[in-house]
Amino acid sequence: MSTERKLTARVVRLRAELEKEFADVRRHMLLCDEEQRAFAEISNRAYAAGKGRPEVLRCADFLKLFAETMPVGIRKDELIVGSQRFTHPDWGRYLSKEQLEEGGPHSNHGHIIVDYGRILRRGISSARKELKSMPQGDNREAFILALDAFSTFIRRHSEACAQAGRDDIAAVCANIAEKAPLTFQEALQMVWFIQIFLHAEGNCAAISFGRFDQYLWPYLKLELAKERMDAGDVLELLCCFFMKCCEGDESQNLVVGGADLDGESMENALSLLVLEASRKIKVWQPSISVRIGKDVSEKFWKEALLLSTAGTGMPSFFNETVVQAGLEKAGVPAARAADFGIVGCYEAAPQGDSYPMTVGAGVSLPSILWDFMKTYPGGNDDFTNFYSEFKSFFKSHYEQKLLPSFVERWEHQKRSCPSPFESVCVTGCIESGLAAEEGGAKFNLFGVNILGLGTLIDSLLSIKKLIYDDNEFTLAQMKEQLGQNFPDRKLLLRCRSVPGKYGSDNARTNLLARELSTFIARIVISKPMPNGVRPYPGFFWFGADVTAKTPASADGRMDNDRLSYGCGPGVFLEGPAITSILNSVSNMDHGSCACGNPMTISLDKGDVGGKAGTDRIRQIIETYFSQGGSHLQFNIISPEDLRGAREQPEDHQDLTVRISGYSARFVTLDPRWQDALIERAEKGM
Amino acid sequence: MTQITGKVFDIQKFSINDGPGIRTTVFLKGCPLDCLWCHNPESKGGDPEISFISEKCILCGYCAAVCPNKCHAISGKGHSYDRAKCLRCGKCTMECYSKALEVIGKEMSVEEVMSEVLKDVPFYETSNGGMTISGGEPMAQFQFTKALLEEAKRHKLHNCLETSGYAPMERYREIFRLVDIFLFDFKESEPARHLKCTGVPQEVIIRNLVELDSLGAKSVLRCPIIPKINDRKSHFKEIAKLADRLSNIIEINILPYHPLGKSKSSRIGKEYPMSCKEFPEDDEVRSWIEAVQDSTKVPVKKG
Ligand code: SF4
Ligand code: SF4
Repeated sequence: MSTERKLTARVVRLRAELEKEFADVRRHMLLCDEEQRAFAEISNRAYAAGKGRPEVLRCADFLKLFAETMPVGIRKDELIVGSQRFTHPDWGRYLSKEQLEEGGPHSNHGHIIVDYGRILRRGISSARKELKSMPQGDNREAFILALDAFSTFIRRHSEACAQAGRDDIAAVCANIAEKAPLTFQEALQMVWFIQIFLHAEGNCAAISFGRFDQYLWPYLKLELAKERMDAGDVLELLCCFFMKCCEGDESQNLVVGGADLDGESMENALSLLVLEASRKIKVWQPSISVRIGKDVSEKFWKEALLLSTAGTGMPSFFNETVVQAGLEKAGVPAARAADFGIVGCYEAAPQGDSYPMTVGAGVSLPSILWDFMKTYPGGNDDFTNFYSEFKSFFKSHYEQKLLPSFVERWEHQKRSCPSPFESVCVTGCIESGLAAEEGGAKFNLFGVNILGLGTLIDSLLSIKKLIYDDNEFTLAQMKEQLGQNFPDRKLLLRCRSVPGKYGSDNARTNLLARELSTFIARIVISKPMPNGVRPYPGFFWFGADVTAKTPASADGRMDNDRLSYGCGPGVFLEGPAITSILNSVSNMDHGSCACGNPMTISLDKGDVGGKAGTDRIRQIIETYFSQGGSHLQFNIISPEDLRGAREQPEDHQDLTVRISGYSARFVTLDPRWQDALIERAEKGM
Repeated sequence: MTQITGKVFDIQKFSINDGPGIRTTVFLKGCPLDCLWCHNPESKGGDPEISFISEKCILCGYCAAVCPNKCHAISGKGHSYDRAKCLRCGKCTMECYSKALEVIGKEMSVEEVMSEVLKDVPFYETSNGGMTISGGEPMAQFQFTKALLEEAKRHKLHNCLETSGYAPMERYREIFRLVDIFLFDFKESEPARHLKCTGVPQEVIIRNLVELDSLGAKSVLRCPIIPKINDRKSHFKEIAKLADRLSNIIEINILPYHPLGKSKSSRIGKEYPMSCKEFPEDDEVRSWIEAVQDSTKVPVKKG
């Protein structure tokens, strides 16, 4: 029985080590002060020296210096080598203001899935040959420099391994410093080196692995066929790899499962082993996602569901056909849309040949409603007038203000941080001769992160009922209350208690949700930028539901209070069961929102015990997806446990929860997030 | 559609402990029994009750303004509600937006109930769930219960009926074909104690159960276990014995006592007669289950 497989002694040791380090640093990244300092200094030296050089070459110079001089250490026992603990330095701690001005580091958008498979197949030497065919110019020079630096970086790890007496790993590194990997371990090590280098170059987050079980499968298949490895060996390597992922970036997504364009299942032994490894090692990275299509095998379901009850908030379930449809609407041809991976939290993008810029811009719906209300005189109108005027306001605001600002954002990115290594790794850049930030990838998208749909819907319901249907207040009174943050407490509660909220499975509200979300999503997705880049929407703006400063809204929300999360209900919904919530949310225009329409459900441990419990999770997913939902994830936790952890963090070090698009230790979270999670758990969300 | 109405005190979606799959449980009001430990005191009386949760009251005074009998008084000290004068007309509850005041036992038509129940059909389909009618005692609103069962069957739903077994047999005969599984309560095996704890005789209940079984009706035997009242070895044995007499029984459910009935009682201005405050420990519940399972092959589970 595969489920009986135990972790090896090595993995257990490394895991215990990780736990110890974690207890010391009290956060969900295992960073190293020395490495961060070295990284900051190298960055400064290289960028200061390159001042005046074209940005892409400055960055390549930096990569060269990084590869040649960054201290390289090998940790005891580890099977995958190379550290990411240098990332996210607190620059101000290591560099003076003058230094930062002189040679501030290059920082790109991250949020990408590069073409791991292509690099694995080619190896560095063939990739170099391809680069030589590019037309002369800064990009060609920079791309070659970057690739050479990458090779140097790998070679230095080989030397360090040899010095540390780890000849086996030294050989693995030596084999891939120029040539294409041949074994599974070599391929996996190569993926990790790419990951480190992308982070060094970009100073950014959410660099994601895409369809890991697809591009690595040929290597594993061979090992298994030749009986050079068994499943236990693979599990050990995967665990070592996952523990590496906990070092730096907290939002590296990795997706398994799914079908090809013809709907043929592409699951394999590696898909299952990834799920098993994640369940057994119980670490918070990478963020595991699964693609759920028509032909998910029983084995795959079983592993995915077991992982979902392991208490790490993983995996995230994605409804394959709905996500694909969203990408196609953004101009991605079907064949490439079918090959999507998940970037960061929930954002889908074709893996390897797209530059999706998934956190391009945020749009706060409650703020726009308030801006509209300030300009709308009202009087002698009805709700239909109000609503249609709001929609026109939104449309012109989007087209005249937001869209031009998106273009500006894109252009700024293009000038400020063309990234040579990333560009070598993204298909389309070498062919076009352009960096990814310059639009070199085959598909260029721009994520529009829309915030507060649930809050908007509930606010509209409240305006409709209290102002227009029941004439309890005038529009002017409501505006006054909102402007002054609800001095009248009774009115505030009146607003909060309006029945039929989004999430209560009220037929009329469902219709409104459907109509409004479709209206908004279609405005975003239908208009390309003048430069051809395609904005694509998701009703999700990372973190902003908790941290954004948003003025009071007519649903009874006060200034700066929390907003609805993802495409889910507003904050004053109380009572409805999860079936009602999901029925409601399934009305959203999921099929236009490939940039992420997340939905989280909290279940009590008692609801998911045993086979009946995991079956239930599956039934919930299948029902929601059959109604068109695009994404679902679970927190299996009781609000009491969360409260206990907030009060006594020392006893709950290992409590891992799903916070938005990634999993994290509850005790490390900002108190505002802790409150939000407790409140949502109480409501089943 | 039929115009029969009934008094419904709750419709609970995502109900996972009242029959197979994901279900919607319709709780009907009114019960002829008077169990000491009743979990749903608000369901006992057949008439609507007004529930008042003072913590939710925002002292807005809207209720006082509409009450025809001046039952609500709002002052600096708080909100006092004079139940003795209350006509249970429900007017105040319509005004109470903070849901401090609510009517328990709304009059609903079959159509209204079904439109709620049918919303979760997609969940019943993937989970082999359906509708459960519970109470109170659904048989006490027999015409309404029957109409709901018929309507649900028209929509091809799987029906469960939770019953105390205390109703005339001819009524069970009239509906048993509409019920896929009876969730049949068995509370106390000693007739004298049964009468004392529930207020009704036990013999007729067992007779009904055995006859339903002989008609081919499937059942789950649901046994509430309350510390110091019926957590006796002899009772566990009798549960097993009764189960063994039935040929269409699916399983036995042991329902550990939970003290929620208490706080619910105070909301509707009633005294709760039980003094037991604690949830039984998991170990204790497990020992009950084992005690029953030792004497029968019918599967015994926590319900
Ligand atoms: S139910 Fe009717 S009589 Fe009773 S308190 Fe409310 S409004 Fe007054
Ligand atoms: S209407 Fe409700 S909230 Fe207002 S005073 Fe009456 S009970 Fe309290």
